[in-house]
Amino acid sequence: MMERARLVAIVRVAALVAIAAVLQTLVISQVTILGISVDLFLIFTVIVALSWGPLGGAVFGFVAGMAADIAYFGPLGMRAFVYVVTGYSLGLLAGRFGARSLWMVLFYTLGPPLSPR
Amino acid sequence: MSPVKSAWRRGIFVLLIIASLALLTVSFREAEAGPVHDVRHAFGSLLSPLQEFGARVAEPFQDGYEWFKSVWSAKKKAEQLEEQLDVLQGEVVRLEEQAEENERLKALLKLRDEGTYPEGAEFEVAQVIGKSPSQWEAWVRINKGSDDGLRVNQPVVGATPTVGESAVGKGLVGKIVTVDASTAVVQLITDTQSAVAGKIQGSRAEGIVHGSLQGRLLMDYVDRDLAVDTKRVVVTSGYGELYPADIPIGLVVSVGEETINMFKNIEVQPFVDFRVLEEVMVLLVPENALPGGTTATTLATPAGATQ
Repeated sequence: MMERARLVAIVRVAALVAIAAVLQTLVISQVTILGISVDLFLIFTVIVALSWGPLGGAVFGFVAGMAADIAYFGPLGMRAFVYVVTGYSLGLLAGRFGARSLWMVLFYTLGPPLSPR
Repeated sequence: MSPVKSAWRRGIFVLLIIASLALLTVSFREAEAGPVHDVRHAFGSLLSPLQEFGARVAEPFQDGYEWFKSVWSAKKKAEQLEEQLDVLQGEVVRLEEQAEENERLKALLKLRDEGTYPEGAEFEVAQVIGKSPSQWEAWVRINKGSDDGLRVNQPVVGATPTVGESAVGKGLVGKIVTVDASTAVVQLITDTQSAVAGKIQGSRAEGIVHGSLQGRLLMDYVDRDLAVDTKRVVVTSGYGELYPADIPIGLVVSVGEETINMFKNIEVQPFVDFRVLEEVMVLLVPENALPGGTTATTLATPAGATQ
């Protein structure tokens, strides 16, 4: 049973990363608004961290960061590091303060994308 | 949460951080042909067709956004340019008016410098601020008065731009008939009440130049036996105690004779175009410099002019 749950989680992570990679590469990165492009990998990391907690956020952040480094031709490990810290921190914050408040959700969602920039 | 689970979670987190930093270090230190770079290039080559396809798919949206942006900025720019155009059109009109005024004043200065006026004569430039409303009278109101040294019967000359740089276009306008502190009325030489002693250059024939109800300028009292040609210049003779001698009046345009009249019928075309007169110059002639050296007498105010 535990093995099956772990497998489902891995498949989910892989599917999410694949969807993020395809959407980001195909559409999102091509369209900029006022010179800013949406980072779907980071958004998915935030969502996963809020849903699965710090461990899930950190693991997904690592995988998504690696995918983003490959997709953006950046130094391998750069985004992985940032997203791991982001996913873990947000998972901890959501676990401690919850995500019921609209302001908290906005803070979780807008904070990470803005802070690296 | 149990301490074991918490420690396990922290351990995973630290492991991921170390893995990220290790990858980052390798990525920076490894040669271009290293295994990490190879893996990245392999995944990159898988994604690059997707990126090319995405670029083609997203192009209309990208262009659409740029199109909206450019239309918006073009609209704003057009509004700004229209405002600038309005301002500049007003400026052009103002500058053209100034340029024309400049030309007229230059013509007046030329008239002052080239004319022969009595010694000690001074000049006061004034603007025309009103004109006689009907053809029965011919006068203009100017914006200078007794405060500026103007007096009744002072001669007035002027220049109009219609005929360019020649002597034509500059000449006698009339005389002041009414004056108050800040304005004065100038009776034009085309007024029926006006009479100017003149002479025709070339023949030396003398007569009286006066206006008519038709607005024409006529020269009377020229003997029939004197030869007078057309295109001759008529100037003031200096007789009559009002006007200094040799101020140009106009050109003889027609000469006629009648058997029952002992004088010629001469029509004179005035040098000054009174229809477009905007500035004039009042001659402040010292009284003793006028022909005869006596104070001029006040003439009747033209109909419609106020004292």
